[in-house]
Amino acid sequence: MIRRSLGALFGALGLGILSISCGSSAGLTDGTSGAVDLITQIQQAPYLVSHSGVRRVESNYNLDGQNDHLVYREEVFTDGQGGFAINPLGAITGATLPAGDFQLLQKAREGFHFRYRDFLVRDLAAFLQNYKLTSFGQVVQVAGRDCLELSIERKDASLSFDLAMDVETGLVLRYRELDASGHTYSKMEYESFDPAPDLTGVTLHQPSNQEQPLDPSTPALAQLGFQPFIPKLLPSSGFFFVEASSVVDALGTTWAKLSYTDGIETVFFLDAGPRLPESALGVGVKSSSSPPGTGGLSGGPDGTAPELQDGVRCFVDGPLTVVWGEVLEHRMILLGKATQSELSGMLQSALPTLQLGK
Amino acid sequence: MSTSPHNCESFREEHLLASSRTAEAPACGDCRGWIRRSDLQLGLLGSLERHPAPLALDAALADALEVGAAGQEALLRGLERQSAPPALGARLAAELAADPRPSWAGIVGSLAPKAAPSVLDRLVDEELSDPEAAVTRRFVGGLFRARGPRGLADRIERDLRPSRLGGRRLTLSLGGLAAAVLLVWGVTPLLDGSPTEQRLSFTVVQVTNLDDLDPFARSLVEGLAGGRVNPVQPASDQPPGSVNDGGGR
Repeated sequence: MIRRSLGALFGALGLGILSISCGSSAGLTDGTSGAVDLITQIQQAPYLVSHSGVRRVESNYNLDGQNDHLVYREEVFTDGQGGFAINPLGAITGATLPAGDFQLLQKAREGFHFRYRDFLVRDLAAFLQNYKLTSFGQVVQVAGRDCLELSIERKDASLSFDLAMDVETGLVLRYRELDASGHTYSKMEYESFDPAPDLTGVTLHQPSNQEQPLDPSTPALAQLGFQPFIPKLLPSSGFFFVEASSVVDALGTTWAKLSYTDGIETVFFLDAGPRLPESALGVGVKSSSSPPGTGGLSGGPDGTAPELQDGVRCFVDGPLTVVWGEVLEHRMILLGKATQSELSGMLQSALPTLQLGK
Repeated sequence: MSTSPHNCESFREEHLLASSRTAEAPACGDCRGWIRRSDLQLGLLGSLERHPAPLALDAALADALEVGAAGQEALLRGLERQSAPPALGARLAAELAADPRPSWAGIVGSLAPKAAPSVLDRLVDEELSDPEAAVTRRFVGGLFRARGPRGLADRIERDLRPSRLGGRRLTLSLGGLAAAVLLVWGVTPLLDGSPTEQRLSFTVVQVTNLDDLDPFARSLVEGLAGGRVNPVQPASDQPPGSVNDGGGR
């Protein structure tokens, strides 16, 4: 079905220019159903198409003010039923860890890479609102496959992607992610592709973080053991709530994980709830320096809002921002391709307001 | 054969302007007599000896024409004014009196006078009080209005998408909402004794070293970024599953 749909779509595109500026009048009712079908195929292909291949991944980053990049290869398998496996083959350049350790770490991140690292249309409606897709009908060869070149740009111009989509399967066989200044942030390209893989002996991904979707009909306190903070303000670049789940980190701490997407990128809001007694904490975790019961608040001058003692830290790497800290005894992490001010605003909107008597 | 009535005046003018004499006899006796007398005058005048104009006359004329407009004006002013014959005035008055059509003065005089709108007084006062500003307003108002870029319109529409309102209505709605919120915020504390709410604030400290990150946050960052180098080596005695990234469903 996918092959016939894509074949008809490709025939319709021809050498013309396909451009949709989604979200306004040029939406589903504007005769752009072909483009919407195209985006839907891209969205579903990783889960519905069985394939295998070796791909090269390149990541550019900034560490302590120095630009560097990491290039490595990995072998990917999908069974067409949602199952997948990503086996790292080793770093080509940029790695300082021994090869075994590097592959161990990458394998541990297999699920995260498949769901959040790679380019993927994660929500069609959000994508149509926040991104515009352009195609000039040009066909290129990637890993011996005919691929249609596409350009996707976020409407606020903060991110853009150049894609090569396999015409037959809808899989993205090559992509390049650029930040607002046009610098390449990450790249991926298939070097080999097998549309009928032999999955014998392939161990598909098994989740190791005990991630469980939260039941919206059951109170969060009953499911998590604490009431998490909920952001009321989302990043202005058009993010929507996707799902809420609980995850357990390497130290056994349960986090409430709220995921938001703008159609492609994901912003995470994680709340670990009130901190456990120090005796229950593992090595490497700081304890709060504030007196018990104060919730980390310091008395502010009269008339000013009380300020949190520990503060919040922020780390920025290109378009990626992470904000974390302990707020009212809740360890919280916000992570995604949004600005520092957007994530800080999101964090502040999640905090409860203080009731002050008259 | 035409039977138009004989008009002596028209006939005589045509007779004088005609380049050649026609043999057709005039219709009336007066015109025949007039023709005999005009022919006799022409014969007498034609028999007189011709004398050229004196050369001094030409010089005087040339001099008169070269004095320019001021000089000509003096010449013209020096001419004796000729008044219209009284018969012309009497004849014109008789024709106007006989004309059944009303005069324009009568038409305008019959119209009911209308007062100017009061706003005109204000506009005139504004114009007179600051003529330069009035000219500026008229000048600017006539300038070509350039349209904003399409991207700006898209961005505004996207930001205002939930309300689906036009720009001016949205501005008014937001202005009204802001005013209402401000009013409620200002008045409510004065009206009831319920406790007030205050938002918490916090400072954000920028860090540039990966080692300063929370371990779980760091693993998420590196996972989302594609697996950056983690200088902290995983403990070799821990099973691979313990180094997880929080996103492996």
